Amino acid sequence: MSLVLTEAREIPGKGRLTRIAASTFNGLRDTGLALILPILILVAWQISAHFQLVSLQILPPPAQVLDIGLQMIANGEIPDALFTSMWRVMAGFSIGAIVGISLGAAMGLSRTFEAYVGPTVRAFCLVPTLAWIPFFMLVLGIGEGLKLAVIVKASFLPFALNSFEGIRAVPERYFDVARSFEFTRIETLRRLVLPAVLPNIFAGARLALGNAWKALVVVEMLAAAEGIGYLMAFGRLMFQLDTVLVTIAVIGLAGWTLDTIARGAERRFTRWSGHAA
Amino acid sequence: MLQTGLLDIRHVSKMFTVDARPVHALRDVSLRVEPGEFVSLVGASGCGKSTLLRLVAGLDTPDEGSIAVDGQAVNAPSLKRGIVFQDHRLFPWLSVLDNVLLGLHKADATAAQRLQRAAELISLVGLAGFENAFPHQLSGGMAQRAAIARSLAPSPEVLLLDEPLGALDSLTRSHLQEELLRIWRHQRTTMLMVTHDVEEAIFLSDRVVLLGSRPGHIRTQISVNLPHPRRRASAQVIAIKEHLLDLLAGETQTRVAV
Amino acid sequence: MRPDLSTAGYSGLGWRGFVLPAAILGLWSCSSALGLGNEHILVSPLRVLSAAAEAVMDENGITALLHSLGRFISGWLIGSAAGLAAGLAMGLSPTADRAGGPTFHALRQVALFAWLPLLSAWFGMYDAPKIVLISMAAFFPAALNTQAGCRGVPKTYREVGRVLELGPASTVWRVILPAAAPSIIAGLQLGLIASWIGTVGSEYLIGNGQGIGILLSAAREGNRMDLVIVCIVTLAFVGLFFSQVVRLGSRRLIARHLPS
Repeated sequence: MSLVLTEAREIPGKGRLTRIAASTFNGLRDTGLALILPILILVAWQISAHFQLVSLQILPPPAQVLDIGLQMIANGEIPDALFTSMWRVMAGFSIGAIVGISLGAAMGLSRTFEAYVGPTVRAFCLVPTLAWIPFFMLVLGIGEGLKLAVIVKASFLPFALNSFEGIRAVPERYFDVARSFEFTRIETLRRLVLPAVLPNIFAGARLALGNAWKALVVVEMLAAAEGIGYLMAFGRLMFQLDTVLVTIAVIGLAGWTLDTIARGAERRFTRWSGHAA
Repeated sequence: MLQTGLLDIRHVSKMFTVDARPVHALRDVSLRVEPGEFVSLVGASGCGKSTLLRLVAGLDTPDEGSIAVDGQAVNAPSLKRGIVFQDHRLFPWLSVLDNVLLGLHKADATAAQRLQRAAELISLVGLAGFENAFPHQLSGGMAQRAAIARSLAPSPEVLLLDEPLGALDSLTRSHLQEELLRIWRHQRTTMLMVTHDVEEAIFLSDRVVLLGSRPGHIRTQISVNLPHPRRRASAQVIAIKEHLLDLLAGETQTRVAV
Repeated sequence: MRPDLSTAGYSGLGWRGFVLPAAILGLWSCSSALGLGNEHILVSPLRVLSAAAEAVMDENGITALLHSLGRFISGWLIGSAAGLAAGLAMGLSPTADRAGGPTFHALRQVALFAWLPLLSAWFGMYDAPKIVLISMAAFFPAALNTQAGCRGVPKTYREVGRVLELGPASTVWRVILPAAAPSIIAGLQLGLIASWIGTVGSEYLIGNGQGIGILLSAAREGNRMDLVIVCIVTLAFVGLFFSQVVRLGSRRLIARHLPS
């Protein structure tokens, strides 16, 4: 009972207006609290820059960083880099999705296939994406193939593992239902397995997208002539920390945007499941 | 021995908000439980009997009215009022012994005395030998015994029981009812129990309080003046039971003493 | 159409699991023996073994590994301690959560290695930026899971604490921390994996000094595929080893109290 009910006294008064006022107050208070830390950091940063407590080269003033950021947006540097990076992520992510879901589904549906392939896939998981980069570099050189391979590697595993585990987690009694309705193989796949696995696949997609973005940044920092990671590495090489700070913010924002989109898709397509984030 | 544990509930009302709409859970409930008395609260689900118990425990505060134990107003949870929940709520990371010792954390005693007291309580509830077991290793009935031992540990003046046997199977349940009776007669603590099992209420209590719903209020009280041990199949028990069940089904409001 | 569900989850490691690796190994050996493909890329399995033996014998590999482990452990310890503290603050105090949470979650969005150029500019080009990065790798999962663990303590347990008159410190120590322990340990474990990746990555990207990542980078530049494979396998096993250690350790610590 106490789980469903909230106590009336938490909100003083019973009128609708008072409730709205109270929630507005809470919202304002939360925003205010959330801003304290960033403002403190900004003030400390500005003070440090103003009195040159640290060399300006190491810590350029906030205004300069903002200015450089706006310039880089206006002259197309950031949009171009982002476009290149996003294109790479999307291409690798799509291939990773196709390969990963097919592999995971095959492993989930056939125990024999899983017995042959599963251990190798799991061994493959043990090596972090990052460690494959030098290997791929030797095999594929440092062209677009390298970036694609790294992102495919980063994104295919969450897809494979999640779709595999999703299929294995379909309760057996559902298959009894399918048999009692005399579903064909295709019908069982379409009406039972696919909907049951969809939440897992979307959870995998979200993970894969995050992995892909992180892997891309590293591979672009290591070996690229364009893209947001390259922009950052180049800024560092030239010791332009304003550029570096701008690219950090862009990478964070882009990562957040990708995650928000993936989370939105997950919610939208798996609303029924109740356990989606 | 001077008896303590007089529970006095006066004109208590309580509101909740459900979906942003205020709902009256209890309205003007007054109840006096004598020291050492065993009182059961019965009523349809949602009649506010658990709410009343939580108010007495001090877990929630009434909007109107007052609650006092031995003249002292209740405004926060206290070791003087033990509570046993339907879900045993033992800490899964502590053994039975450590769970019971937790109830003694404020006791004015040496470590050895605490251990001894805990061991006594564990054997009182019939769990001797299971001191080092973890809650997940116990059956539902055993876990509830351990929970009773934990709430008895601080020697509360009033023990509140929120459907303590509600989650158990009927065999374990009737067995634990007898155990509860034995413990009560041993400790002579004031007991206030919420149950939806009318027979259980009659079997155990001196008095059965019937609550009506929406908003929760006291409809009637029935004293059960039968000596212990009571036989469930005895004519008197069956008569009271029938009467209570009639009341629960219908809307009669009378005061009956047997 | 009915998946074999006799036992859910993974099948064990039977002989069939070795067929695919054996086939790959066979194909690899044959093609390198026949001189198919680029010999720098398609090195023979024997060359890989001898490179491994060499790395162990001349102590190059061992020294590198020890240096990496030193950074890894110190970074993980620092990051875990800081993450635990931050997570506890945010998990126990709603005010701290409202004040620190948004900044924390914003910083968390940045891919870990994107901090490296900044860190190397601020902390020099040697051990300091590497250890800061490794700590950050451990910090975020530790803080996140500690916060979530403290928040997720069932209200029913907190009520027992109130009924038993446990004070604030006692409630934290006896109720919240034990109840949150599984989540906290999972966070430390995630941090362990992230820290190890951070170790290898920061060594690879910054260079300077000794370490398995630096060895890997040198092997790549020297076109030594055999050594690259040795390094990759080594770091995979180190990662596996540490996550197993934590898994077994945490099982001993918590699992005995909880139903499986």
